Amino acid sequence: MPRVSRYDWLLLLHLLAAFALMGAVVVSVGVLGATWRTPSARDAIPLLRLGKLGDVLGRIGGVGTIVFGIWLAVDVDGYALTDGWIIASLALWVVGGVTGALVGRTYQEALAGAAGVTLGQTVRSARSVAFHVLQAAAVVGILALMIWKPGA
Amino acid sequence: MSVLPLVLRPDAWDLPLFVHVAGAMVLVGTALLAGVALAGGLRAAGSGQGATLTRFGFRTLLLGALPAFIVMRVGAEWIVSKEDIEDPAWVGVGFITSDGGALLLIAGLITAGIAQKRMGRGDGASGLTRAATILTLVLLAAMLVAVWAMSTKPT
Repeated sequence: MPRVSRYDWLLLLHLLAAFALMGAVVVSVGVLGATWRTPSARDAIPLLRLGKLGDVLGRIGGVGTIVFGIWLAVDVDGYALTDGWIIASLALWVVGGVTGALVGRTYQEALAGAAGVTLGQTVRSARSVAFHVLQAAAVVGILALMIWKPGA
Repeated sequence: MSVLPLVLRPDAWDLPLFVHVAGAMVLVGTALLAGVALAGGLRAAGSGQGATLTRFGFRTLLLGALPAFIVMRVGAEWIVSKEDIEDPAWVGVGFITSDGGALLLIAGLITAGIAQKRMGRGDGASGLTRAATILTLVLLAAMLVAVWAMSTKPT
């Protein structure tokens, strides 16, 4: 039986949650790209429904990264929740969570009013694109902070 | 209570590790998205929605998973060359799953590509879509085994 330390298990769970968070970004970007040239919201319905996968991944990833991330920060000698890179990560986590939720709401609006609204008013609006970009930038930024750990 | 010692890696390893992990994360995300889309295409086979989802699944594999796989693999070779490690078991698991994953990805791309083409012409392609779905989900499972091996580094 392979020997695995508690740190490694915590890191695995934290990483799996981070993979889910990045998965949410991949789903958002994929759905946005796929619906970009779709003529109407009705034609985009099967693609917009895939956005629910992003919602689920975002929730799992959001909770998992924060729970296991804080656990790791408390458990590992040398890290503290007051470290600059951890505070910056927490700030980006909030930005990613809020923008991810707004991306999900955009898809729901497009699905709910598929017959009455255009994709330009919902998924392809400048506001929606900004949410997508901010969500992706926040998650990539968190990954960069986790690897470089500036100041650690 | 702090109980685990902090271990910092050399700064020179950070960029290759970032490339490797970012590629792996996008690969897992795209494989999951493609698998769900292909499964949806299979369920709605014979309709316009089935063709839309199968085409999306194929494009996600081609434009998302394939480039992400290359980035992940290049990052893996880069970080291994930096670390100069003596081939422990967890690195072996990583390379085995990566090599096997490449075959699964190529097979999934071919079957999904043919399936979306046939569906676009209105032909039935549920067998091919089913095969592409299974191949993509097995690829996803293999990548998750690799994540386990890379993070827990079992000895």
